[in-house]
Amino acid sequence: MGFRLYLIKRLINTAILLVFVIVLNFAIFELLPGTQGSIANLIQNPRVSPDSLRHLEIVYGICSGFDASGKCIPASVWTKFTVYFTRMITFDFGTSQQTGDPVLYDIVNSGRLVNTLLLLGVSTAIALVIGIFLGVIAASRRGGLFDSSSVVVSLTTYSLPTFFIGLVFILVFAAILGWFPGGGVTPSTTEWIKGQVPLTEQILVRMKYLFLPALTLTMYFYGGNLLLTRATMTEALTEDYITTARAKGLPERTVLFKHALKNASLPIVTNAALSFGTILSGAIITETVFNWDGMGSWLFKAIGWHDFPVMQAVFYIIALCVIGANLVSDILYGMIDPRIKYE
Amino acid sequence: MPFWVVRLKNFLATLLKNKLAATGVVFLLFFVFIALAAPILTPYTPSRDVVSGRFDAPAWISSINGPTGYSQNLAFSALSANQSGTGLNVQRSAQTATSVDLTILSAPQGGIIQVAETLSYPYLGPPKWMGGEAKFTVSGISGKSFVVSGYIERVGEYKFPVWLPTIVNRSDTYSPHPSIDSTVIAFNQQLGLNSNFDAATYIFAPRKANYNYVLQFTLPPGFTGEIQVIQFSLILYGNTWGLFGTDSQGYDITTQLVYGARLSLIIGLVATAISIALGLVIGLMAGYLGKIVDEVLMRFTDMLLVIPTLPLLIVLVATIGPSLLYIILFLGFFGWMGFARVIRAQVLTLRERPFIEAAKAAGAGTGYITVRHVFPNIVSLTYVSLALSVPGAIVGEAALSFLGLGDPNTTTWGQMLGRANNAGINTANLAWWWIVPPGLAIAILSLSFVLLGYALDEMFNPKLRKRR
Amino acid sequence: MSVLQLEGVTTHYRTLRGWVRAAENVSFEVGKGEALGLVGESGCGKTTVALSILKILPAGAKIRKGRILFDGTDLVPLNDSEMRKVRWKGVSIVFQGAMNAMNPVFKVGDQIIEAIKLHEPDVTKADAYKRTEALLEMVGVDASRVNNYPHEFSGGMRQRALIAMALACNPKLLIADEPGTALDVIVQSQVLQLMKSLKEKLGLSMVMISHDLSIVAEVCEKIAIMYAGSIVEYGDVESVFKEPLHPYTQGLLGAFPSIKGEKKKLISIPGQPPDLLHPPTGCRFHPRCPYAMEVCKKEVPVLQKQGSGEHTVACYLY
Repeated sequence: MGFRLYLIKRLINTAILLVFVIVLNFAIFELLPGTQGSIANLIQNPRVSPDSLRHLEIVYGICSGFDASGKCIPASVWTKFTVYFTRMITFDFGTSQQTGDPVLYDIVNSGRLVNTLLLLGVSTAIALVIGIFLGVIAASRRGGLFDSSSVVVSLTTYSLPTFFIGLVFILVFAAILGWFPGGGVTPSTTEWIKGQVPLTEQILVRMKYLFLPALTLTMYFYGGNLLLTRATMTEALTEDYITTARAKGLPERTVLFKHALKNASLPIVTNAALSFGTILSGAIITETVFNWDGMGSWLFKAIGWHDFPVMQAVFYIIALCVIGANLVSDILYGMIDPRIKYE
Repeated sequence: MPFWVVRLKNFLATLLKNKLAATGVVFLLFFVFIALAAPILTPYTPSRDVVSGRFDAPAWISSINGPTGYSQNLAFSALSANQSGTGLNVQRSAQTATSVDLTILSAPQGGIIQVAETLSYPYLGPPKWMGGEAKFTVSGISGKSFVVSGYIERVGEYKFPVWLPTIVNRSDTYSPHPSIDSTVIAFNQQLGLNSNFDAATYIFAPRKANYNYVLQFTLPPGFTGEIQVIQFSLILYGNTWGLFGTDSQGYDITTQLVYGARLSLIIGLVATAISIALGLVIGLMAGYLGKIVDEVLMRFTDMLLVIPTLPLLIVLVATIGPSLLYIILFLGFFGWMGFARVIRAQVLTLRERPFIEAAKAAGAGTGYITVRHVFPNIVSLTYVSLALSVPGAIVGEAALSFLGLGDPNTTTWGQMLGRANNAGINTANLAWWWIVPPGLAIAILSLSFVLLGYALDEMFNPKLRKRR
Repeated sequence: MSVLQLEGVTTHYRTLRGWVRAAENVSFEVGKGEALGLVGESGCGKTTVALSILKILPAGAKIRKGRILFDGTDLVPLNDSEMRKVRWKGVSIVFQGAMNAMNPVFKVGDQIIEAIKLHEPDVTKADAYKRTEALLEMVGVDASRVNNYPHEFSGGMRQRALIAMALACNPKLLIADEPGTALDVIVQSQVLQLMKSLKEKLGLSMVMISHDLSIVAEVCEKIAIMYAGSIVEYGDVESVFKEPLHPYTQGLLGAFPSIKGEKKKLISIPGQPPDLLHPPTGCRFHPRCPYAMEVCKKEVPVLQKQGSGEHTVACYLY
C-alpha cells in the first residue's frame, strides 16, 4: 500500500472523528436537560428584531414554520441536527449571549486563538526539547544519579496540578519578587491598547508577559516527555545497531541523538499528538490563572456567564485542534519510520 | 494461614521493598487517616465556621518571625458583677461564663451595676477584628427606666464606648446597635474612626496591657426589677490562626484541607472504580468477542481517546449543573479508554495461550473461561491501572473545581485554589498558606498513587522487571 | 609483525552480584593477511573479546588486565576520542546480518556514507556515494539498492551490506562476529565464500568468531578454542583439527558431524557451561572433563607449546 492510500485512510478517519465531535456536541446541548433548546440561545441577541428573529428561527432549525397565530412549529431533531451540522462545518457558532458579538469574532478576530496558539506552541516546543534532551541523557546514564533524580523530579512535577504551579509562580515571581507581571497578555495602558508601542519594546514586554504562563505549561508537560523518552531510549540503546554505530567510531553524541533517538522518537511523536488534548486542558487552566486572554480564559468567562454558544464553540475548536494534531502525527509517523506499511 | 493471606503478605513485602512504592504507601496511609479522622481532627465545618480574622497567617509563623506584629484569638473572661450605691440590694443567680441573672430588690438611692469581663492582652501585634455580644432581657420594671452603656477599658487609661448610653424603659430583650463587630463600619465610626480603620486594632494597640469589657446599668432611685444578661462576651480575632491560617472569609484552612482529603479520596477512588469497571467490560468484550464487536468498540474507544477530556467535562458540567455526583460520574465515564485498550490487548494474547485452548477443549463456556482463566491474569493490570488513574480523576475534579465548576455544597482542594485565585494574589495579599497546602496536598496524593502505580507496573510488567 | 596481538586480556562485567568473568587472560596474535578463528559455545566470551578490541563494551564492563596491541600501539590506555580514530579505519566489525545490526530508520547507503564521511571528512558527498555503490557491487548487492532501507533487504543481502559497510574505510583488521549465522545454509555458505574471496583480494587480516568449527576451518589459517572465557587451545587449523589436544576441543570435534569423514557416532559434551560469575576453580573445564585430575581443580593451566608448529594447549594432560 502506498503512502497516498495511507493518507486517504487517515483523512477519512479524521472526517469520521469530526462528525463524532459534532454529534457529541449536538447531543450535549440538545438532548441533555438543563439547557432547554440551547440552539435557541445561539441567536439570542437583544438587538435582533422579532421579524428577523423568526427568520433566524427557521434558518437555525428551531422552528419548521409558524402557524396562523404566529406560534412556532418545532422542528424535528433530525432537521435541527442537519442545520447544526452545516453551521458547525462552516464555523457559524451564532452570537455570544454576553457580548452580543458573533462567537467566532470573539474567538478569532479578537486575537484569542492566536494568543492561545502562541502560549501552546512556545511551551510545547520547549517542553518537547527539554523533555527529550533530558530523557536521552537519563537513558544514557541509566541507574546513575542523574537518571534517578530526573525520574523522581519529573514524576513530581507531573503530579503538580497546573493551577498550583501557576499560582505559586505568581506568588513568588510576580507578587514577592516582582520580576514578571502577574497576569495578562500585555500591559493595559492606553498606548498599548492603541498600539503605539515600538516593535522592539513590544516583543520584549510580550515575552515578559509570556514567560510565567509558558513556564507553567512547560513544567506540566516536560515530565511526560522525559519519562517516555527515557523508556524508549533505554530500549533503543540495547539494540545491535547502536553497537554498530559505536563500532563505526561515531561520537557518543551522534550515537545517542541520531541513531538511537530517531528510533525512539516514534512513540514520542504519537504521544505528543495524543496528549495534545491534555496540553490544551492545561492551557485552559494556565490561561485562567494568568488571566491570559486566550480561548481558555474565554471559556472560563463563558462558564461564569452561562454563555453556551461560546462554550460549545471553544470545545469544538479545541477538538478540531486535537484532531488536526493527530492527523499531523500520523503523517509524521509515516515519514519517520520507513517500516510503516501504511496499513 | 490461608493461601491468600500468604500471598498478600508476600505481595506487600515485595511492594514495600521498593523505596518509591513504600513512600507512596506512607503518604497514602497518611491521607486515609486524615480523611477518616476528619471530625476528630477539627471541630469546625469547612467553609461555614468563621474561626478567626481574614487572611490569617498560620499561628506558627510567629515562632519563626518573632512575636512582633502577631496575635491570636483571645476572649474576655472571668465574668463578674459589681455594684455601687447606698442601700442597693441585688441578688445574683444563675451565673455562667457568659450570663448572669440580676434581681434588683431595692435601690433607694439608685446605683450602678457593672457586669464585666477582663483580659490581659499578651501579644505584640494587634488583633484583626473583634466581635462580641451584650444581650440582656429586662422584666418586672415598675414604670422606671434606666440607662445601659458598654465600653472597653484599657485599665487606668481610656474607655472606648462600644454601646452608647441607651435608655431602657420596658420589658424586652436588648442588644447594642450597631452590634459589637469591628467589621461593621458604623461600629467603628461610633468610636470616631474612619471606615477603613478597624476598632480592634485601634483599641488593642500592640502592647501588653489589661482590659475590661464592661456592661453598665445606671439605675434611678427606687428601681426594682430583673435584668437577665443572656450573653456577654467579646472575642478578639487574631491575625494568625491554627496550622494553616484562614482564607478570605476567615474560614479555617486546616478544616478545609482535612475534609478535602475525604472528598479527593472518594472522588479519585469512585471515579476510577467506574472507569475500571467500564474499561474491563469493554476491553473484555472487544478482546474476547472479537470481529465486529471488537472493531466497533475499539473505533469508539479511539474516538473518545482523541476528544479532549477537560473541555468536554467543562461543557458537560456547565450544562448539567455542578454536583459532586455528576462530576464523579463524568470523570468515570471518560476515563476508561486507556484501560480498555490494555485489557483488550492482554485478552488477545491470553486467548492464544494453551491453557485457554485446553479449557475450551474441555468444554468450558466463554463466561466460565473469562471468569476462571482470563480474570486472574488481568488482575495485576487492574491494580496498576487503578493506581495510575486515581491521580487523573483527583486532578480532573480539582481542575473543574478550580474553574468554579465544583459542587457548591462541598469544599475540595481544587475549590480552595480556585477561590484563592479569584481572591487574587498581589503584594498586599501574599496568602501563600491558602495556596501551598491544598496544592501540595493534591500533588502529594497524586504522586503517592503514581509512585504506587509505577512500582506495581515494575512488579507485574515482565518487560520492565529488573534483571537480577 | 603482527597486526593484532592480545596479551592476557581480562574483561569483566560488573553486576549487582559481583564481577562476571567473561574473558580471562586471553592472548592471541593475528598476522597480516591472516585469519584467526575464535571458536566456542555461545556465552563463552567470544563477543566480549571482539568488543574489547574495539573498546565498545557495554556499561559496567571493564578491561581489567592485559594489552591489546594493534599495529604496535596498545589500545587499552587510549581515551575515547583516540579510540574513535582506530574504530572502522583500523579495526572494523561485521555483526550478524539477521539481527538488527543496521539502523532500521536510515537508508543502507547513508549508513555506509556516514562511516566514510566520518573517517575521511575530505571525501565529497558524491565520491562517498560512488564508493558506497562500488562497495555494494563488490559484495554482490546491486548498486541501485543503495537508497533502500534495511527492512527492504533480505537477510543475506543485509549481511552483505554489513560486510560492505565494514570495508568502507579500508580497515587493516576485520572482526566478523558470527557472520551468516541464523541465515539458511545456502546463503550462509555464499556469505562465507564472499568473506574468503574478499580476504584474499584485499589481503585483510581477520578475526572470525563462530560457534561453528566448519566455518572457521573454511576461512581461517589459525584457530583459538575458547571455553568459559579462556583460550584452551590455539594453533593452525590443520594441526588443531588433525590433532585436537584439549578434551574440550576433542569434544567439540566429536560433537560435530563431518560430511566428508567416515560415519561416527555424535558424542556430546556432558554438563552445562559454567556460571561465569562463579567459575570453577582451577581449569574451568574440569567439572565436565572426563580426564579431570586433582591438579585440574586447584590450579589454572596455562597455554603451553605442544605438538607441531605453534600449537599450544592449556591442559595438565600434556
